[in-house]
Amino acid sequence: MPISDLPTTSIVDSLEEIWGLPYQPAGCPQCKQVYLVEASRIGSICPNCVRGKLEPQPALLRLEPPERLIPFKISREELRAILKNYTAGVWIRPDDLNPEALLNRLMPVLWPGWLVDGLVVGYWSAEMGYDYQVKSSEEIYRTGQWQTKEMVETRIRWETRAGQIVRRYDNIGVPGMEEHQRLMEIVGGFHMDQIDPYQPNQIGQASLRVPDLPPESAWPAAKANLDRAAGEECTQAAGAQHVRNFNLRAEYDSVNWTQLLLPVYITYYADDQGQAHPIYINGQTGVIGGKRLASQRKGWIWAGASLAIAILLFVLGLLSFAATPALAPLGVLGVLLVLLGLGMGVFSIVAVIWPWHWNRGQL
Amino acid sequence: MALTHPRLSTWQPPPEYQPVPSLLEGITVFAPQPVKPTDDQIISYKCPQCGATTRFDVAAGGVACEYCGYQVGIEAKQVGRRAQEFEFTLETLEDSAQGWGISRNELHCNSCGANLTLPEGALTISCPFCASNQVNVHPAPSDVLRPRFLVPFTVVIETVRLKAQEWLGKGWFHPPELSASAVVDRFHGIYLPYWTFDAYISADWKAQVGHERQERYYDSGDKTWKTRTVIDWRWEDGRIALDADDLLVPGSTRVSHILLERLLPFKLDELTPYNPDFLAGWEAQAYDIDLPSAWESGKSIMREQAKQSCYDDIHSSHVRNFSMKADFSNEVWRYILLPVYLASYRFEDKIFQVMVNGQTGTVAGQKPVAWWKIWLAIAALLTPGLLLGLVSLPFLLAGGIGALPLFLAFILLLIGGGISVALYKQTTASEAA
Repeated sequence: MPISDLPTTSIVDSLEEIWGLPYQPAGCPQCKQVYLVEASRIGSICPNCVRGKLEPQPALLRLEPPERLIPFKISREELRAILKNYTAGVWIRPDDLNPEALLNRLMPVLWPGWLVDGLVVGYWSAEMGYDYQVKSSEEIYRTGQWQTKEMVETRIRWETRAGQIVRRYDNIGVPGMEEHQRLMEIVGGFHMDQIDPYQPNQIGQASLRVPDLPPESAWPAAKANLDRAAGEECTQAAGAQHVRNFNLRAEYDSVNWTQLLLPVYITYYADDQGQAHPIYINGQTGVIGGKRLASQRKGWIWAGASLAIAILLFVLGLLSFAATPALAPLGVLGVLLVLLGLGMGVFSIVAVIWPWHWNRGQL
Repeated sequence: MALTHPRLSTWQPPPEYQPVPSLLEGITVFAPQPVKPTDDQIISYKCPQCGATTRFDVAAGGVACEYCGYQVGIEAKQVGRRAQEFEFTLETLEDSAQGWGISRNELHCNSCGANLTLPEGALTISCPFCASNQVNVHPAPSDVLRPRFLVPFTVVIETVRLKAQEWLGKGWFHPPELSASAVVDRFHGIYLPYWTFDAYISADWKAQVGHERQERYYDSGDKTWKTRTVIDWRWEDGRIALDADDLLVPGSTRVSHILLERLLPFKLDELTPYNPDFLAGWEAQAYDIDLPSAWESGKSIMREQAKQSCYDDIHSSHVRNFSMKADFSNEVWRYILLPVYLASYRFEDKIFQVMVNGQTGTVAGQKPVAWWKIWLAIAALLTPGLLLGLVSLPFLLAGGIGALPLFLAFILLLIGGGISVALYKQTTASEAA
């Protein structure tokens, strides 16, 4: 498919309205991501890097409105519970990593994806795998008797097949962001069967991220996904259960690109050094992800305090021992104080090591 | 079948591919043409020179006409143990159980037009009216269940006769007049059905194993220290692996399995792809022991071999509470034909069977036994012990030196008895079939 056949994009500088919404383009000078936001959101934190602030900026995008949208499904109460549960997993956490602060900073965002329709015309060849069953057995010898246990095992017979294909595929999902794969791993993907036609009133106050993978850049991925869909159907047509070495020489006709919007909530917190870290919540499923850093600084403080208490208890314990000849019960007290001092000493070590160990797993 | 679209006009399916049904509109499917099964057509053998009947000639190693001397070689390359093997698919097991030749029990002779009744399970027939040799007279229930490989006859009939006569004269416990009066002459060669089985067996065993230990103890009767052997029992376990390769199991109930066992081994390195030419003019039998039944026999042999391997793995002769679990994997089979000459002879109004391995010339068969020789031999074996015992008894009663001779007599009786039993078994086996 020649590049000239791909849909065109336009530079949008400033508009009163786009896609039926009173939004305008804005970008983050730090991460260079571009959004369509309400005018009131200009100057607020960038939902991508959560460090820079959004400034008015021209955007390169398609003027046609998106075709489909996955609506936000998670209520505020559910979000509170999700965040509470998420932060509870971090024992010594920064003060900023608390559910209420995260909830107050929540930003609804719609990530872009592409939906590609197209006619695949071409020739294919592959090795198709057909299941068949073989009988095997296990022989058990016990108390002078043989017992046979028969087992049926399923194996795959691979056979070559070839053929032609003229099939149309609709709404094949294609990433609209370079970071699509990484972000989907964090939020766990979306159920594509719960998709609605785009309606401007469904956007609410969400910011719309502008695709940084335009159709010309996303075409290889679109082609691969169309080929994958064709491969699945060729397997089905051949009556096979498995396929390998699928090879398709195809041309793609009547390719149509539309946009799909994926709902996420983004919030953030600051770590010990004041650096902001984003947390993502899938707006459809509630899956939450992002780095949860523990507070090493708090760990040191806890360690210092508990070490001081430990030394004090230890010294008091020794003094109690020293006073034992005068008052015998002080010996018992001395043992208790020394043990408590040792316990506090161990706690101080844990308070230092745990944040370090936890953060290693997060980075 | 082909799709119509301007961009598909130049496409051609790969060579030797054929269209197969597609389950989706808009997609065509082509598959390689299936390998043509071995020709299931009945083949008549006639000499192209003189029109007489031709047959496979062992000496010539090809199809020959005994009237005009016409000969033609057979294009068949030995594949040996590399011959294709098949898995135990549920489909094949079901097909195998259907048996052979159910669908055809009458045959129209291609040569003279006579209608022949086929013997059950026969793969070949010679027309009694025109003497033409016909092969592939019964269809297989499925392609994998036709004989794919065989070992051709390599021993000529004259050698077979000589070997059989020589075999008749062997052995002292047979009637002396056997080789002189009995004639084994009417041998007929037949390809017998066999199954070969391979499997990899991994077996875990567990048993109480006894370890001998010398122990000193005080005998209060003798008031001395003595040494005795005691056995310490310990639970032990282990694992063995056994690679069973080309285990042969007969596929026919029509011949004695005892005699077939004695014909072994066959050299399977000489396995050759099935070619009906090898069967021209020779009898050939299809299996009547189906694959599942034969595999049950094969498996029971393999599991006993695995059990023996487990016992070999135990470094003690004292074993109790033995148990094992054998996992079979990579089980495969072949259906082959092996060459055997069959004959019978009459001696003193009794019929005895003889078989000769058509590949190696090994002879096996039933032979009459001169029982008077056996009883005489047994008496001779037992007499020394009995006599010595009888002689030593009075000495023992007299309180003399009788104990030692009596002990010797007992030992001699034991040895004589053991040899007698072995001799009796050997002679009864000689008559058995």
